Amino acid sequence: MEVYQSKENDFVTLTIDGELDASSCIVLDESIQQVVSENEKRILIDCKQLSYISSAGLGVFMSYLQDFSKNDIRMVLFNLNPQVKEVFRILGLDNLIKIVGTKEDAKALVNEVVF
Amino acid sequence: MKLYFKTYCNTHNLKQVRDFVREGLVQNGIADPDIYMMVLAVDEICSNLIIHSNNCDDEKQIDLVLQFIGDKLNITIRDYGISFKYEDHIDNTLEKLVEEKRKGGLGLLLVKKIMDEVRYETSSGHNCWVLCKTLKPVG
Repeated sequence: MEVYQSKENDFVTLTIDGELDASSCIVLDESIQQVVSENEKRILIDCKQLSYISSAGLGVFMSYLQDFSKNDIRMVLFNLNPQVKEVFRILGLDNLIKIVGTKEDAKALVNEVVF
Repeated sequence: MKLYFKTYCNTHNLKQVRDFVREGLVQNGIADPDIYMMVLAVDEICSNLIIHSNNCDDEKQIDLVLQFIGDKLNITIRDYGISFKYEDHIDNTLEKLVEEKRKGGLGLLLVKKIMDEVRYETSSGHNCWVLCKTLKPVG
């Protein structure tokens, strides 16, 4: 599993490529920590190439929710395949984590006045 | 029919575990969405055993059995590490895990939502998870 970072204007995109499990979740965690340490406030997560996610991957996203809310850091996931999206849904995490269909939707959402 | 798999306690072996379960379910004509979820359930239990019960000691073994009985699947996962305190996790909720900013704890919630029945048994020298599901054939 690889995570690629790209910067555009006022947001950064992390693209996840591969299977996110207990073995690989540390790579995502470090990538998010990295962009936060660079004071990024708008983080888009491209999941088009994310073929599998276990709770270890979900836990990485979940562990940032409170700090991001407190510090007005906005994170939006997009391009999830149906099975990956279902894993978020059955735990109810789709109510806590912002998930949209496309990158355009994600860009629009992170720039909304009320997130 | 019974299918057997043996692995060792290294998280890098999780992909092989997933491949074994996926192939076993495909061979037995299980529908795609169910395959993904049952592969996930086994991954969750094995991840916990590798990390928490066996401290990623790759000399420690995990034995996995898929048993198909009519339209039922019983998955047995056995390890020989530290016993899991099932009662400490049985009442976990999503809200509680978010509140405590815990990266772990979601796995068992997922397994309980995916499978029809989840049992944990421990006795001297080994621990055993049994996951049961009534299967839906393709079509």
